[in-house]
Amino acid sequence: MARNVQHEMLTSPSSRIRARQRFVLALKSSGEQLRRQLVGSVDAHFSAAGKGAEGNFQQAVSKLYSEDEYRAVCLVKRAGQEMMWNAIEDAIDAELPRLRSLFEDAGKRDVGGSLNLRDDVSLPDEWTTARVHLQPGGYLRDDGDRDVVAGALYEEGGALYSRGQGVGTKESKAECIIRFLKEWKPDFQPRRILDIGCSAGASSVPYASAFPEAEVHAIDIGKGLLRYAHARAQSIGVPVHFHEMSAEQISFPDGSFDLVVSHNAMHEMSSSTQQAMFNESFRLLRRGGVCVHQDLPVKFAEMSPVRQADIMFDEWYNGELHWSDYAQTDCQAGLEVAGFDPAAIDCKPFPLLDKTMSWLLAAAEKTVADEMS
Amino acid sequence: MSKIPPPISKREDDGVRFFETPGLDMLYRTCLALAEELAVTQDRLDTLERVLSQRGQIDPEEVDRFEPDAHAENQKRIMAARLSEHVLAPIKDLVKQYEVRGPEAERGRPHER
Ligand SMILES: C[S@@+](CC[C@H](N)C(=O)[O-])C[C@H]1O[C@@H](n2cnc3c(N)ncnc32)[C@H](O)[C@@H]1O
Repeated sequence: MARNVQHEMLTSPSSRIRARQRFVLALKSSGEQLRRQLVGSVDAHFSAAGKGAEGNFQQAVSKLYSEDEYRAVCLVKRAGQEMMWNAIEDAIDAELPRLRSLFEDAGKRDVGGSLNLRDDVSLPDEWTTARVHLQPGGYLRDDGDRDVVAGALYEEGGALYSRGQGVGTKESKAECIIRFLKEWKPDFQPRRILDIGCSAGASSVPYASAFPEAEVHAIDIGKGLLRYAHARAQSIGVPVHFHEMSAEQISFPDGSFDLVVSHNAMHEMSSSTQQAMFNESFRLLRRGGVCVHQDLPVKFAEMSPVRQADIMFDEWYNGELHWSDYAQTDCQAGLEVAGFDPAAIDCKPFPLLDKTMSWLLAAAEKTVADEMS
Repeated sequence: MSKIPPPISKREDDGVRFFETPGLDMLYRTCLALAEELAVTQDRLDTLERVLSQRGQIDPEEVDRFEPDAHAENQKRIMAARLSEHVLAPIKDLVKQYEVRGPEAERGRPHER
């Protein structure tokens, strides 16, 4: 399943909106190049002045963020992000009735997936006001019981990038993890799979396709994301069961899964939520089951102070909530605390098929029996 | 880990102004909005030229000489107004904020607004 799979929940923007989207994509990508170039030279000057790896982070922040040139690239990055959402929101607004009715009819399709919303999920505090990546209304946006806008925004934001990269050229995150699993455990055939922090379900669906015998469950905290994810999966024709639940407290019995995964979710969680997710992964796995948590390879310890200061942009001005925590997290330790045997944990970068980048994986097998069970 | 505060403070509405010079952020944004409009126009023109030349119907001379009728003239006015609205939107925002928050002196350093 290619990363940019086509389905009916995607919009077909007017040529005017498409032209805006093309422009914004170009703006963001040239802005990003400028930014890399600039950070490279600031870094070089800073290191030459004897403030290299051991140099102080606060000093690097003051230096970098007081440069007019850097402020200009910050502005382009921020404005580009806002313009992108405007162009996407306009495309969605134009098709809202169609998207809503697709959602309403999703359950009637003979696919076998389900949507399970509830009102008793307790959320980490920061979420009510969060606007991760500046997405309008945030992940928790909920404009009524047929509202799918949060999911549509998330999916269209991603689709815009893949369109820019050419059709089907990149291995998706889920495809990459499925390949990792085949290499790690060639005979592994999971029967029950859980995807944590599923958003629009783009990474949940590939598991249902790759393991057609398995029952796939996916959880998130946003109602609008989950409604969209459900309609999307039903439209693609692959059964996934979506649930409104927090990673901190997952309402499934102990030992009820063979495979627990998450994709790009750790960096959007506080350290305590991430630990709770590791604990829940351990509890939910049967003996012999495995978890694989995949995310961006961002390690503060491996960066110069100027580069650390640069990536903080995303926490300060792009709505990331826990970027700096994530960049300093120790997944190995977290999985050990959760109860996994240190020898059965594998935390490492894993390269994409085309070797253009690596994902960070936090994987573990439950070799010991759960004390509780 | 405790959160590190941003080096350039954000405003109450979570917006941010990166430059200290009043109006510089606005000027950048104006340019970007203008560029977006230009991109859309170029794209449209390109499409039109391709469609028309496919049909063997394009005659640049005729385009130069074109006299809009009343309806077309009105459409063109609306288009121009839209463009100018878009380009001026950041300034409009500034003016709106001024209405709410009052003059410079009462608002502290410009980039902290
Ligand atoms: C970057 S998105 C994940 C993308 C998705 N897994 C994919 O591959 O397309 C992160 C998601 O984590 C969800 N999330 C954050 N905190 C959570 C929590 N405590 N429990 C469940 N989901 C959470 C957010 O709502 C968001 O949808």
